[in-house]
Amino acid sequence: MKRPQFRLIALLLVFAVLLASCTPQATTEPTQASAPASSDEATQPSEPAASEPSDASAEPIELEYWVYADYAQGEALTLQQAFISEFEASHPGVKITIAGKGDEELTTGEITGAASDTLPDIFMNSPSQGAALVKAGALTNVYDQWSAMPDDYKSQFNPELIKAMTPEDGVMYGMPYTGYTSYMFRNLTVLRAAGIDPEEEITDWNVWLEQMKKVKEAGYIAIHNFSNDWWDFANIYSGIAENNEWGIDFANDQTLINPDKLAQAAAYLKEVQQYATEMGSADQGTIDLFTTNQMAFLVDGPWDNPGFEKAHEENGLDFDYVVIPGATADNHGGIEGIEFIGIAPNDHADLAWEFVTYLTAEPQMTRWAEALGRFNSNQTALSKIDHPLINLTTKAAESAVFNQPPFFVEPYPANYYQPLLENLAAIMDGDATPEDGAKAAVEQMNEIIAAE
Amino acid sequence: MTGWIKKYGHHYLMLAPFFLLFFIFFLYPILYGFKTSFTDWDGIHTPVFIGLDNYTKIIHSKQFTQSFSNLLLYVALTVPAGIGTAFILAVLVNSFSKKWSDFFRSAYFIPTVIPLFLAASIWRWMYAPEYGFINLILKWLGLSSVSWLTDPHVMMFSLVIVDVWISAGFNMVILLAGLNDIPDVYYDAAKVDGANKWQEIIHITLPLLEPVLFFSVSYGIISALQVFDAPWLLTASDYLNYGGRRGRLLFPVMHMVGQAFGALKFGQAAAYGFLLTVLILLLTAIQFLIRKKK
Repeated sequence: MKRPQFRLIALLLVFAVLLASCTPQATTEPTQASAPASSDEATQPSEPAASEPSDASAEPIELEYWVYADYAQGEALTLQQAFISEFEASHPGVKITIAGKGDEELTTGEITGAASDTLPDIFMNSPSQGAALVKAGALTNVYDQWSAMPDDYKSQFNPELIKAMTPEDGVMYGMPYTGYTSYMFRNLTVLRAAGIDPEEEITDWNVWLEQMKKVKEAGYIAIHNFSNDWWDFANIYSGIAENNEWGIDFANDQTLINPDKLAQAAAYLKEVQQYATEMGSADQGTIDLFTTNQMAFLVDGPWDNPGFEKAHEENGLDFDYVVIPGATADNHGGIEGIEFIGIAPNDHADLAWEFVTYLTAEPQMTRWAEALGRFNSNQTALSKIDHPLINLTTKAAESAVFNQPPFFVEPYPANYYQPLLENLAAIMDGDATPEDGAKAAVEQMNEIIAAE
Repeated sequence: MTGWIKKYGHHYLMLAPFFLLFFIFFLYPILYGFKTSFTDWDGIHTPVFIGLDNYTKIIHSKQFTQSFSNLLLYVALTVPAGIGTAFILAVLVNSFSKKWSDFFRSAYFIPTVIPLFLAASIWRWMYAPEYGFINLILKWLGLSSVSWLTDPHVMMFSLVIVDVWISAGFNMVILLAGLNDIPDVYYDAAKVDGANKWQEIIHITLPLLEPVLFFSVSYGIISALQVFDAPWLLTASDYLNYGGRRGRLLFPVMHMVGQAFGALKFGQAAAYGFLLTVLILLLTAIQFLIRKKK
């Protein structure tokens, strides 16, 4: 054989090897990791959930488990792997593979997976994406399995979160897992410089406004903008609205936003405007103002906390967190979000449900909350832990509104919040009164919903 | 016939892979998209034929009027500003020695290769009120702070500045290639006739650069009509709220993406796409007609 032919064969072999490495089995995510046989983190192994051990000699069952990317790294991954090992140990012949995915990747992967029959057996997502997942046929209705569970399991969960997973009687799309509530970070250095005692509680909007005024007078920025982003606005509006006054009533094609309360929240923000920067909470510039001791208050979520802790260690940032003040002392602002675990409608749905109940049972949820300081749906587990962030989240959740209710019913119309923000801008610019702006916003949002 | 196949068959066989791929990945998706624009389709279930409903819904929506008005203003501002800046840079760089010309050509090209999400983040910081780089300079000059990304009267200009910053390097390289192709004899003759630099540009450079300028303008208009990523990122948009304050940076492709991936209305999104395609074809045809007449 001539030399060029050898080269050609060698090239083809290399090409074949490359192609072989591209087979689905090999295209595992970088974050993917199968559960180890044992884990140092699994220091408090609990009783595995009631199981029907598979026949070890039978065909092994492999379950694919998709989680949020931040649950597939560091301590969270170690703990997830420990849960998987424990479950696998009590279920011979079962192998669970965990894979971390970004938020967008979870949703698109689950929707396209449902269409192409490549859905993972167990997966996480936010209920705010629930309607699209239901439409795609990605979710198993687990209501019967849930109903058949013993009361001592069912009673562990936050009833509000169970209700959020149940769009109608007899229908439940998975188990609520973790969650968050927005809250307010305070820069204590700025407050002290403005002559405010951080121990002084901010009981309501008026007290808060007084503090903002003092901060401004001391030469600092009090707070960020709340009228350019629906998330920011909802954090304030929820301080005057009831929990059921945010979202869409799909049955009657109208927004649940109360125009009177919207007007009051907008009027309050109009007063706040003079003490605030024009940037919203999502701007890096806003975070920088807070961490460099130029801004007193920042309303956001627990995801900011690690960065602030780091700034505390490196630059001495002195901060704490409190609930977002409401219009009155008996109300708080804030938005609540959930991450849930869903099950694919396939042959392994029963086994997947067993795994989900194991993950969400009190011992596992306690270990999860203890290790990560994350709020979760198991209130029995949370009651056993004294973590300031979890305590605050639990308190804030009492009067927070869900981010995009109702879940699992209909996807929100595109650009649904545009009329709200457009009219808020008109109010802030002085082109409309709060009453007129609020009325117009609600009318235009109703038009958008009706046009769907 | 057999003779023709024998003579030319293998030529067409060699072209076949291209046409096959062209049909599968280009022509078929376009035709499928056109068919989809007449259906109600959520991307999952079977599409339902609804005639022209998608088109009438879009045309009667408030966002259609706003997005297309914004688009026309944007094109009218960004294309002349972008090409004008690129032309000035090209003439300047062309006048430098080779070493400096190479340096500046690379330097001005950098924004073109920077990932747009990064460029948008940089500009959001630059535009930040109070402590943004640009507002700090304004403050230093004794001027008041400008709300670059939230003042409805300024937002469009902020976007155009970012767009010019991104595209100027790319257009400059193309124009520079055109400038290098102009023979020096014309400039030498002009100098003999006593022409100054300005007259050289008007009477020699611009006429001889016309084919390249036509390409840059056509390409610039087509790109500008499809604007999406820069305003989406600058306004920190999501599917539930896009277009910035008072919808001043709302553009058709943003609404198209919102309809498709936010509301799962792929039929409406496809119709939006075809309306935009018609506009692009129309404007491009007008440009070619004007050029032909000249």
